[in-house]
Amino acid sequence: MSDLPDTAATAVLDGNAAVAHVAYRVNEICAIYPITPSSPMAELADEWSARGLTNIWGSVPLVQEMQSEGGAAGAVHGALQSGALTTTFTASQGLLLMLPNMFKIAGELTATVFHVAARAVATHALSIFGEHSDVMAVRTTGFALLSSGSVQEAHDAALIAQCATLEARVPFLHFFDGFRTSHEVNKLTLLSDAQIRALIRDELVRAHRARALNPEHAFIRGTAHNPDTYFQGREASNPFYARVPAIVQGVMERFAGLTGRTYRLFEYDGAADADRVIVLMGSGASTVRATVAHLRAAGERVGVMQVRLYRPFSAEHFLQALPESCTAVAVLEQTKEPGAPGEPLYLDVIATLARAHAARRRERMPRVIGGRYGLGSKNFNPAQARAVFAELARAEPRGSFSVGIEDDLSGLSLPVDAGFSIEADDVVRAVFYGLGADGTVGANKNTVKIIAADPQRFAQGYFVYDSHKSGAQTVSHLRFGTRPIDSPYLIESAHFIACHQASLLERNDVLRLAAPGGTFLLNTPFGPQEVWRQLPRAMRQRIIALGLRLFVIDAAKVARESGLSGRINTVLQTCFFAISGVLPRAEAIERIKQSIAATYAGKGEQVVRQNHAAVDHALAQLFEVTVPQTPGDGAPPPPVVPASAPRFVREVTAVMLRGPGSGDELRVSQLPVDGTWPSATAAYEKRNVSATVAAWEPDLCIQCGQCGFACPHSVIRSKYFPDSALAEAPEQFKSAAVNSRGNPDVRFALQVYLEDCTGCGICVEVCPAASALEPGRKAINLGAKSPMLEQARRHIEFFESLPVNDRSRVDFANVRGVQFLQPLFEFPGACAGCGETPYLKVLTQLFGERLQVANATGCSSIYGGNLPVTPWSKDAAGRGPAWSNSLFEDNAEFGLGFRLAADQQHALAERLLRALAAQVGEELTQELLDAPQGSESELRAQRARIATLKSRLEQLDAEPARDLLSVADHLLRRSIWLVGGDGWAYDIGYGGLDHVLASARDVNVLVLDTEVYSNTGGQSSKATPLGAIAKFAAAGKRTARKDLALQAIAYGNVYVAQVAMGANPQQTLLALREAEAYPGPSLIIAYSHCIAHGFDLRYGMKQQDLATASGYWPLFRFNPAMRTAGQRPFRLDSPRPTIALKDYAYNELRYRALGSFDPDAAQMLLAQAQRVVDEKYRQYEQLASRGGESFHPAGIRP
Amino acid sequence: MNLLSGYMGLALRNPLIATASALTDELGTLRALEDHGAAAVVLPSLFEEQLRAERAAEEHRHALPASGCAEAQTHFPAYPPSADGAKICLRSVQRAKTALDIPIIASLNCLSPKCRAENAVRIAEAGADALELNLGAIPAAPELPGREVEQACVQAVAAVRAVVRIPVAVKIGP
Repeated sequence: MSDLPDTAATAVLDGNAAVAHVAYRVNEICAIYPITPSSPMAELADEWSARGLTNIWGSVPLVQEMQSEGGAAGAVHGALQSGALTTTFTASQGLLLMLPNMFKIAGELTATVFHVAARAVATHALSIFGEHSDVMAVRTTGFALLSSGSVQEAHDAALIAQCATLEARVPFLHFFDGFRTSHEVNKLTLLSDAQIRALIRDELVRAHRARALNPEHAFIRGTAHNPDTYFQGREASNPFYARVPAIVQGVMERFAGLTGRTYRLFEYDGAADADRVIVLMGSGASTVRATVAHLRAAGERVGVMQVRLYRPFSAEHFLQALPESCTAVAVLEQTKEPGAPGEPLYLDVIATLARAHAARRRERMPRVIGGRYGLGSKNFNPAQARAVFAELARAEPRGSFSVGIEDDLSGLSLPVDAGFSIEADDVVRAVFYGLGADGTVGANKNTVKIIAADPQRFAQGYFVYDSHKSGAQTVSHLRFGTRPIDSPYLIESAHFIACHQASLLERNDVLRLAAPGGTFLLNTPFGPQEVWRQLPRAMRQRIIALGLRLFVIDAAKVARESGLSGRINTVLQTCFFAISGVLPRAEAIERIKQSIAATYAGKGEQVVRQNHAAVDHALAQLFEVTVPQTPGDGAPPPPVVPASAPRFVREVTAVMLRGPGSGDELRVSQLPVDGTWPSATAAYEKRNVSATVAAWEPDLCIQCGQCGFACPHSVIRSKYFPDSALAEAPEQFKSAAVNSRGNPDVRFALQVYLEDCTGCGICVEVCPAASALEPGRKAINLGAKSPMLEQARRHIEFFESLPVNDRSRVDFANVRGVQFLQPLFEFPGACAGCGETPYLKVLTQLFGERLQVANATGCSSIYGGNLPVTPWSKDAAGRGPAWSNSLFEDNAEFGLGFRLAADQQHALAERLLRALAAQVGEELTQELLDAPQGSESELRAQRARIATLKSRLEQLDAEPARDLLSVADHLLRRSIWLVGGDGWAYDIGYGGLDHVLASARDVNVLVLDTEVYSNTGGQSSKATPLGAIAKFAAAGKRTARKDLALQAIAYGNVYVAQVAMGANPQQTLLALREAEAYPGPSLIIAYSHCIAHGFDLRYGMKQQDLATASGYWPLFRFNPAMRTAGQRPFRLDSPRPTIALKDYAYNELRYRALGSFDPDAAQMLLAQAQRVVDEKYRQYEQLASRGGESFHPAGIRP
Repeated sequence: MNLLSGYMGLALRNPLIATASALTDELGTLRALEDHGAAAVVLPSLFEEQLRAERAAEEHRHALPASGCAEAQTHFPAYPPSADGAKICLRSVQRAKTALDIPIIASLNCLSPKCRAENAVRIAEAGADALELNLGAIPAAPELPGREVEQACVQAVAAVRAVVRIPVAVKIGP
């Protein structure tokens, strides 16, 4: 993926890299915005540009990250209009945001290629996975659409598209399957720079430039037409579209002449006299092709047509390619168009055939049916292809169907014989189960490279992840063989299975895909003698039944002993090479050693020797286990969720919790129809992701509540209770006398939820109570989980039986009091030590029961809403945050919509109430209307009144009463929060946010500022600081961070606060409460440490403290309400800087790394950044001295 | 007054040498030292511990997740290989040599003979006029006979002498 040679050679790349390789060489400008799964293309381009790699004309392409895809499309359009060869990479919603510009670019007949890793458009839910719905949504723009089905095809099509667009002047959109192709690692033959140069005609590039805007010969473009000429102008481009198919075919022929690889607009494979044909686009075609070959061998007359050029749709080429013998056609599509007679390709195919038949250009009109497959990267395998052929063979095939799911709701799904397999015997199939950052995926990609480096060998790798940000399960599907591997579907029967983390065995059926006689490698601390009894009984049975060979190794120990401290992937990769039989053992070991030498060449001989020693040590510590004849005893596995869980959780969530892909068996009728899912489900997950967890020491504890406040996963809970309750307590339940005066018979207990604790250590770091006698010991420490686990479960059960403390009796104006408030956000799947989540947890503790959250796409929407579970939860009365993620760019507007509706419905409720006053009671009515709703007790009183009102309304069986019932809940003041990261607030959503802040409406904005696009892997945002490294700022960000706070303060009537929990948790609390109470727009910018900052997140809160101490992140509050009180509205809550910026920043890799490879730049940027810090602080001090009249006059509230 | 002196075979315009410190770490102050009459400068030492620490940090950086999360498979841009401490030191030598007329003495502080020999060669190739070799073995093994300690020193010096032509000064700790 880095230095690619100039000669035609083979390489092992994923689809994104294969496409980027070409796109980079044939363009001058890439204007982009990151979106999964297309981001790697842009990131590679940026990396190459930073390294000064040139395109085929000798220029270094310019890569510009924009604020959104809409912005990227505008920049692309502008660059094209100015004559540059320009491209962009995108997917899904991002592509849709480019729509208006795409219409323009096509209407202006401008040559360009957009590369799309096709991804599902969010509908009932968001999916980052592959689908053609994004591409189909733009098919009316006038772009030509070229589809690829494999890594090689994508590589080649990128060039073919570029040549075609320059010749045709019609812009092209080149697409390939998101994840299935974009992230599949496979072997391909690379186009050499010479071949690329030979295919691109420079005179066409010059012609493109000649059409550019140029003052030297002035003209205008982009006029506005009246009805008299617009239509004619629109039709004037017809000849250009008519020429496209022939042009593309011509380019494909020249391409074949140059490379030997032949492509056609419509690629038919199969019986020349086929009666049944499947028509489709994308990687599914490879699967159908393989199935066709298999079925033909059994005598079936079947064929497959892969559509490459979808738009313009050439009827002539389609009809030529489809055998005349064909009587039945199934058009398969990886998209859905609700309400249409069929999906887009189906409509095109049937229209083409019907037209030809009607014009007597085709004798037979085949029966054409349409079906959907693979939505959201649902695995599409040969069994499903066969099912479609079977359907075509029926006398009355279904007109419209789905395949790959069980649709018991609409009955549209085809029955599939899951046992059907066409996997070749000489292709070795291996599946690896890993956990998060253990390096399994990286090692497997490396394995594919090593093996495929052999000219005689081919390899493929595809990786499945679960939804957690860290500690996620990974499943790697690898195939190895002596022929090119074109099987874009998951392995169902594996010769080799490796489980790289013993903890995965508890819940996952890792042998589900094991083939009889295969090999199982387990990384376990148990030796070959003890391991058998440690395995779940079902697994032992399976090993015996399938006759598997079992190997074990203690990879962590081997890694440690080899000085590789915990990096188990080299060890396990070695074991794979030794026992998988892909290569002869000696050769395999030699190859892996060579690969190590190559990888670590620049690091010094010692590192290479160390890794080589690890290889040898691994081989010595790899043991085969003698499999007994009988499995022996064992307890049945515990249920995934307790029997007391709600029905949906038991029947749906529990199935999904079993592991990646386990939800495949769920039927359509079991899933919510409109994307509504229950909350409070994360509590059932019990990830048990850490071997060390927090343990409380009551004797040292000062009950300050800091640990619970800072805990990112809400695993630390506190309650106080009468000491009489202790009579029921289980053995060794820990508690202490509550250390507040006047409560002699009250106990305090702090409970750690062990199975949910990630062992991040933040609680330990923030705990102020250190033992005077034992250095290092505090009131809360990390300790080994397993000895504590059994007992802890009983303690937790008891703790949960204690009543939640009465909110109206808790003083939560301070951190100490907040600990007694129930968090309604618990156990998120965020990174261990996440900096965002504690703010959300506190938000729910303060306002959870009446909270409505608009959550922007980003880390918070993923740990907040990525199934199977959500951390947003409810109290015992079923109340809790009502949470919704709409999109990325619209979150502020989405939340404003909440407020508009709440205000309207509140007004409606009041009006209806007044009209019904006589029936429901004058006194109750007046109380409801006049109720103050500030304190907890006032809110509680209002709730009680609403309950009374509702019961009275229910008695009145009348229309107005029913109307009032439907909006009565709005009589309680709702707390509306717009939550998101800096990607949303500073960049893609800024326009909306600005408008919402300007609206003067009562909304509260919480920006979880990680200073980078955390969710998509660390791309730079306008919040990224000067001198920090991020993707698209690889040489260090050259511009300072945008000051969002100052811009909001400028409005004069927006409450603005900058907070950092690790620097001052009390100020954070205060800001949250003031913001909520302020009857207008509020903005809180919250410092969120993040894994993308590059340091051990255990010290996250400490870093926050240093950030503030250095003056980089001053804490302040701008409260417009103070202006009316005649006081200074801007208060600086943190003192002047006491440390240099470097003492904060250089603890983080994102600053330090630049110093490693460009020390001069690092020094220069650090000096600049220090000056920025100093000046900013001076500005804030100056603001703090200004009276209320010195700010922008506040508007009038609507 | 004639202040011409000599040190390690280097001709000095006077007997004042600016030794390794923060002042000799920066090109600006090096030039200032020369302007103000220093006869030679000693650049800050290259420490083997520093190289090891950097290598460990590099290892750590290499081992960084790969988070195993579909949307964020990496969190940082792909880095070019680090300019390690040795390269930075050598670059300082080269720069100083280009910018100054007075002799540049480099300083080396290694524990292992291999590190010492390798970096001595690189320093000489970078253009240093002389090398200051620091042999400060911490006396952590009191049972070690004095003769062996002395032998080790002699061997260290001989090993460096064998591979470089420039003058070598040796600083021995207590």
